Amino acid sequence: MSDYKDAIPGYKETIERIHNLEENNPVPYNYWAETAKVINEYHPKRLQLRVSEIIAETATSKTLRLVSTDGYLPPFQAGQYINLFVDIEGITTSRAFAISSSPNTLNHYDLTIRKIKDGFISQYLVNDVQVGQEFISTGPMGNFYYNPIYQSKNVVFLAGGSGVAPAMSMIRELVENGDDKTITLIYGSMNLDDIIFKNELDQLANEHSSVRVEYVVTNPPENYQGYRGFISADIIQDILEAPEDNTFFVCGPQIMYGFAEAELRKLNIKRRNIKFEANGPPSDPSQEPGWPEDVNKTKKVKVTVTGGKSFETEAGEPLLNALERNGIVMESACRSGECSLCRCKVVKGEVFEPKQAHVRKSDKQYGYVHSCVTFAVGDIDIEIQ
Amino acid sequence: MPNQNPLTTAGVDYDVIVVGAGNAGLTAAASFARSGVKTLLLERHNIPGGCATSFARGRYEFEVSLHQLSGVGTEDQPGPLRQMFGQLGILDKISLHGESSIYRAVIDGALDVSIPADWEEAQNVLCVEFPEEREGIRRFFKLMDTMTIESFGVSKLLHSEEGIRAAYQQFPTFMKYGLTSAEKVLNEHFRSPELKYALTVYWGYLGVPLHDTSFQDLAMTLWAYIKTKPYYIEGGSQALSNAITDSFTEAGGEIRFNCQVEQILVKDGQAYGVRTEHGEEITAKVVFCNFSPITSYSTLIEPEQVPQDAIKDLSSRTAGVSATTLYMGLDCEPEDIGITQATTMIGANADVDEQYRRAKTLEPAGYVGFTCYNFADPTAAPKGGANASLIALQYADPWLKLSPRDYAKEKYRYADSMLKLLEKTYPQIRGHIEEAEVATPLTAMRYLNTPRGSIYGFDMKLTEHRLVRENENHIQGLYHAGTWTTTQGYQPTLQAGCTMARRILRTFA
Repeated sequence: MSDYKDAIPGYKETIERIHNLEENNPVPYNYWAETAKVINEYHPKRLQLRVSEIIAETATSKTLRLVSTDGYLPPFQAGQYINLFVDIEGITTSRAFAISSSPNTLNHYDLTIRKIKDGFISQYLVNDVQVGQEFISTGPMGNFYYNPIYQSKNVVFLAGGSGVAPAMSMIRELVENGDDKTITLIYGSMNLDDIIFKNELDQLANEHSSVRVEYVVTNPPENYQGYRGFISADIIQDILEAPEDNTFFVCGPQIMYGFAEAELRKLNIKRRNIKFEANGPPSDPSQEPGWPEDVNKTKKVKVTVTGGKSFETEAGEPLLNALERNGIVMESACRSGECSLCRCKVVKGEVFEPKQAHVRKSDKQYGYVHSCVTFAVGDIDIEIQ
Repeated sequence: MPNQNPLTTAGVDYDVIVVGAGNAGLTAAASFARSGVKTLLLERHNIPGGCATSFARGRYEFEVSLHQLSGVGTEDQPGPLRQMFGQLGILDKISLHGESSIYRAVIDGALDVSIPADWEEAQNVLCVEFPEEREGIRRFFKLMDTMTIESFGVSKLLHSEEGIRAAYQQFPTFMKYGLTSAEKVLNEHFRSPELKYALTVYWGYLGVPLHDTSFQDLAMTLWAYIKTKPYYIEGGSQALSNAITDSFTEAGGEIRFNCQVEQILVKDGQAYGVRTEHGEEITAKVVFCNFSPITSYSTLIEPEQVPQDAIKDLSSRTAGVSATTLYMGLDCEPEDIGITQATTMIGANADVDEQYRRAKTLEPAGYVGFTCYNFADPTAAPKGGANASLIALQYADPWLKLSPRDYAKEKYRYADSMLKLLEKTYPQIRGHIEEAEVATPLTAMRYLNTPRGSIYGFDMKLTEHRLVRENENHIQGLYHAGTWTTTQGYQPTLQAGCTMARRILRTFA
């Protein structure tokens, strides 16, 4: 062989190594199949789900128990969600729902859904879905979960309405695994009969010293003995001995977030000890700081997709929803500005993006937005690459 | 200004289809488009960059993979990368910030030294720290300098017998040390294990132990960082990826995201296009792959079209190391907890072989690299905060053996071991973490779709050296460039795309 290279120190030995490797591995290892298997086991792009059971929780909420049509569901961390695709009235859209079942139970995922007044999707899911119906979803996603590396072992969950779902998953996991954590659930509801999982929560709190559950009811009956009103600093202080030693997870309707943040600030809870779950686009973006004063949220605006169609929408409608309403389906998942899957480029015109839009710094430089939390406040041109 | 199209494109949809918008795919695509070549860039994700990207958590945006950019150089003395950025038309789209030190090297209780990004000063600092080894330090730096300069010069001679015979005379240092391990050369110069360690903490950028790393790779790595300084990009590597994408589209290039290629179309030994996940067939004169040849030859090309030589070539190469990274947003300024420079490389001891062995297990990390991005980019974190990452090299093997159910627990346990090693140098850091995320080799497999989640391509052992292996084109019209065809890291991959594009453009002329 190439003996003119033989004078290079190390040459002959290295060539011999290569030949030995070639002889010992006549068929190269199938790395590709291995990678595909990992992706399918951990993060399949889509899940094919079937409703195996529907559990009525309260007058306004139900749990949809979903099994995989091929029998396999990927693992998740308590607090994560799946994004469920729904076809209604000819429109393909999706909503993210936290999984309420335990991460230890991977033969099904439970989605606990509460009807929102005028909620297009939640009304459908609670009222119309039947056992046996099939859905497509993303795999589990999101970063609203406990991180043992730096968070306190004392976890406090401030939940409102169906925001109890991720808390339920965490509590179930805790009692099953017998971790050295504690969870205190402070659960706000409008009325006494709105409380989801009440029996199970009471039982778990009774049986496990690591679980504590306190209800806060806004409109309780006159003789109600428990906490009334909203989850305030006073109530939190009354429940917890040393609030500052806990990690707080906050999940509920949007209106709860600003309130909870202010109350936790009164208690001098550090920012690092508070986690907020993403929960959809602002229901009224015109109430958000920075919304242009001269624009009404019902203002008609025109959206033009480069190389595609043009359509009219209202300034107050999220761009992603408007696209879906006009038959343009983009990849999406969190619908809250975080996951970046619905990234697209605004090439002309003015948009409003609320604080919750987690757009990368350099993406902003080139006009990229997360369409789920982007509002056209005038006529715009966009590119979907 | 882009030139006129030098080609006719009759019969095909594009002149070139670039598959994969990683570093090399982006620089190649921009080079093609700016030469007036009709180019389509396909990317399976919704964002360009591959590894060169970022993600948001809370108030922070985390840099996925860029730790230190080599080869930039100053405006007065531009390095090859700055020159390339100029050619790609992106210098006015990005902000580059240099660092004055390459790293702080630490072994708890045994070594703590910061190496300046200055050829003379670096030697001076080491001579003060290890006075009894002054003579060896000077000789070693001289040898690194000669080795690096000869390595640049020798390239064009390596492809022929005539060239190799000339190289013995003209580039004797390269020929003598090219296939000699870094470990052997270090042992010829130094006695102190700590001194050797202070000069080899970049083994983490090479990914193989020193006895199987060419001295050339170590020399060129240190040379590049010390002489051209480590640089950062404001907005992170995503800013670079976006800038090159913008330059590409400005020059008329077309890009499609969320578009995975499922087949490379080959007939009679000639690649002529691709089929996408959406079932569309797109034709071109050249298919340029910014991913592993493993992927092409094992999966994307019909088996009967794959030459035996390509299979034989793959059988002697292994997918290289991946990493576990802990991304951290801190609620304090770096100085508040004793962090005074961007890069700290920490070993549990000076034993690189042991650190490498652990990279194949889930035993506590023996070696971590810590980067705090605030120093070169003050906008990297919100006011009063810090943006940092902690990386440990890891092979995917032990992670592949886990049950998916145990994965999250193991991920946190392992990241905790990394943080414990870091805490020996920065004891207060854990109490200031506001946001944290852990990525493992399985995360790399998911997002990069690479064999074993490799971040450096093939294991860059001596058996990958240019003196014993050439990256050949086994199929006409099919080219690969990226971390699987070159040495690892940002500078090599960014340059690989441009270099390969220039080579292809010459065949068009």
